[in-house]
Amino acid sequence: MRRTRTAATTTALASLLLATACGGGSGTAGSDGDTLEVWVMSSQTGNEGPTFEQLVADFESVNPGTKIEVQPIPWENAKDKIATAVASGDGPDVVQVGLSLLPELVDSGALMDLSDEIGSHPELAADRFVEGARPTMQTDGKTYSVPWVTDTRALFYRTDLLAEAGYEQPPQTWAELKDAATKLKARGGKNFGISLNVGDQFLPLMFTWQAGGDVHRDDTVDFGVPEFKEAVAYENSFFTAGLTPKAGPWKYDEVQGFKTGVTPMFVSGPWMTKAIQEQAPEINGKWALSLMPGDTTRTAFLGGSSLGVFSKSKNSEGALKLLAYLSQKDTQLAWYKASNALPAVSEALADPALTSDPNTKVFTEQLKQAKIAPPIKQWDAVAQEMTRAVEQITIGGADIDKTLASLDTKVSGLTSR
Amino acid sequence: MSIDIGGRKLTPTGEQPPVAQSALSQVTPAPGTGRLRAAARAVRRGYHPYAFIAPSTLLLIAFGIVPIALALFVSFTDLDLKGLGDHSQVRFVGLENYTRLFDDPLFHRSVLNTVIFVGLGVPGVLVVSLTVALLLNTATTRLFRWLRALFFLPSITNIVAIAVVWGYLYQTDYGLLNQLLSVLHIDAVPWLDDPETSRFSLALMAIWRGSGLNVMIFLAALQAIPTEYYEAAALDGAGRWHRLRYITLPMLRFAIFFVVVTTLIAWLQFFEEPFVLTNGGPLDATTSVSLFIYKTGFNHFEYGYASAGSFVLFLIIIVVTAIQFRSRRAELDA
Repeated sequence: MRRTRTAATTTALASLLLATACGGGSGTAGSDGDTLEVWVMSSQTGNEGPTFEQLVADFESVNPGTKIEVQPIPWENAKDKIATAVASGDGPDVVQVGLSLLPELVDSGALMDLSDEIGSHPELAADRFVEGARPTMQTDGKTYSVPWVTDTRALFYRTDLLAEAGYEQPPQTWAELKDAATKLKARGGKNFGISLNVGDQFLPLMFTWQAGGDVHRDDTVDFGVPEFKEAVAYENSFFTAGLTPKAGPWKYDEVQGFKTGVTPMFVSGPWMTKAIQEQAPEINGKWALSLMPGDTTRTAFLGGSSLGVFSKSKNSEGALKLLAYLSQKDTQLAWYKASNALPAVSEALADPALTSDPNTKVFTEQLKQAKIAPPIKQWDAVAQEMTRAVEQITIGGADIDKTLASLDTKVSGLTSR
Repeated sequence: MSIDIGGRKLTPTGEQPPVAQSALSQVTPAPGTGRLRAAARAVRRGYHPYAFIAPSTLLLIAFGIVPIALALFVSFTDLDLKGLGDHSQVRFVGLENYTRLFDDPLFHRSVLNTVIFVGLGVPGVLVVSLTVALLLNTATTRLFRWLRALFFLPSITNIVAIAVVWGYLYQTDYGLLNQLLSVLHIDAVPWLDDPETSRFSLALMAIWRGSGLNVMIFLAALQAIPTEYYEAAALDGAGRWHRLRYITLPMLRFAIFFVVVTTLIAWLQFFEEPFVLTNGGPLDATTSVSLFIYKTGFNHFEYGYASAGSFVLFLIIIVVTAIQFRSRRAELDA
């Protein structure tokens, strides 16, 4: 709480405008000549900047004279930084963009249309990337970005506790997942069956896909599809039966719940395997991963980020060369080893470096049946409304039909904007 | 720096902050050399004050007035990310952002939440910091000096670090607070999971964090009260309570006024606690107006709509502060 927030926000908004006013057309992206400025997203604890510099050292030696300037951008500041770059026209040559921001950035005209040049780089052919990520590359038939790293979700479960509940194999279908959670809950005491994270916007999406539907149609979203209601009702049934704690993501400690066995199942991403190994070594060998259960399909969500070339870049040729280098199998594998982020290139995903680890293997399998969130520019605002509605139903106990109807109206208001 | 100025801009025009008034009234032209007398004449002629206030006025204009004017301008447009890159894409939408704001249930919710936060926070900070200051003022031993530093510590600790620690304390299943309660056989409290409770939890944390600075202000004011008053009262047989009621509190009137005004402005802009701890949830129970503005502008790039929101908040703050100054003046006149 600081008395200055509005003032600071206003100032920030204004400085964006001022930046535009001053930047105008004279802005230059990156630097001149053979220098390439690259913005790499970095996590709070991450070391992505220096690691990326090492990754591109080879590129520099193969292309003498080209100098790569790497600038790590913390994920929390990504939107501010990119908005400032758009406003001033003074951005990098190559920028890493999270998939949720990509449609809006493409719409703003900040990324260069790569359609004409991409053909001369076989590394950038769409069919080299994992199928679920391919739709991210194009908007209105033009190519604006190339997948870089991917992310997905899978089911984490305690093998020992599920075996006790009669599940030697992880649950494969919705009915089995519900049944397993019910049996685990029956252990009594403080125990739950599963931890479902209502704050996760991807959970209702995944359930919708698994029910055989999709809220994304005709370049917009439609929450009136029957499969979405089915998905929300399924998610809600875990809450009404008390099978999952009624807590949000930032509050429920899934590692602790997993370690103690209070919540012996949860849905999460690759980063969680490392967290469990480090924070709960005592349950090593007592847990495993499985594909998302599902009836029609076992689809999970595909996230990650892509690389684009800033529209004001003066070295687009060099930038594309760099993108091609970063899409090579070896580079993708080297980045996986350095950062633990899953590759986007199918060939790299099939490499023993990943598949020899049983946990990572599940994620690579899951990626083959994974879909991206609806690539519309208002998705962030829409997802917020969707998560709010699901939260009102599951935690607030609101009526499903009424809540979804008002969600539908609200979302049509947002998407028509 | 823009921050302080941002805070100061909220002082209604034509109203000199009382601090400045009392400071000015103490400046009497120093008798002495001719040069000094000439300088004093120049001051009276009225040039020098402008020279002295010029730097802060320029900064105020650059970081206060201009941004506010720009925000007002933007609030009548549909500026978004696309518009930032290409001005020809920006449209004037008149009052559309404002009408949308008054129809937006989330904005209503955030206003209500902010009112609740102010209602909990301002009296909370006032009572806690005044009580702590009165207790700390009872002695000046080494222990008390150390305690003073201790109470100030939350004010200078990074909010992210605070959020991490309080996040652990408030954790429903494994948090320290609920562990302690379970020892007393009290059921686990859903500190941040329940919409109603989470507002109290955030207010509690913010009171804890915001009191340190005000304790210092009250301590300074307490130490400025001449001890003769207390001696005289004691001779007349006034007890502890009477001395507090009829000497201490009246003498602290200005300090209390100052603390109330600054705290109220701060809590009307309640932002960091929900931003780092709950992100406005659960069920939007902790979404304050500032958080609403931030999310609209920087998560959804709806700069026009966000500017309209921040302008409404700005007006609310001006009105509330003006009312306070007015009632203060009425009190002084009485």
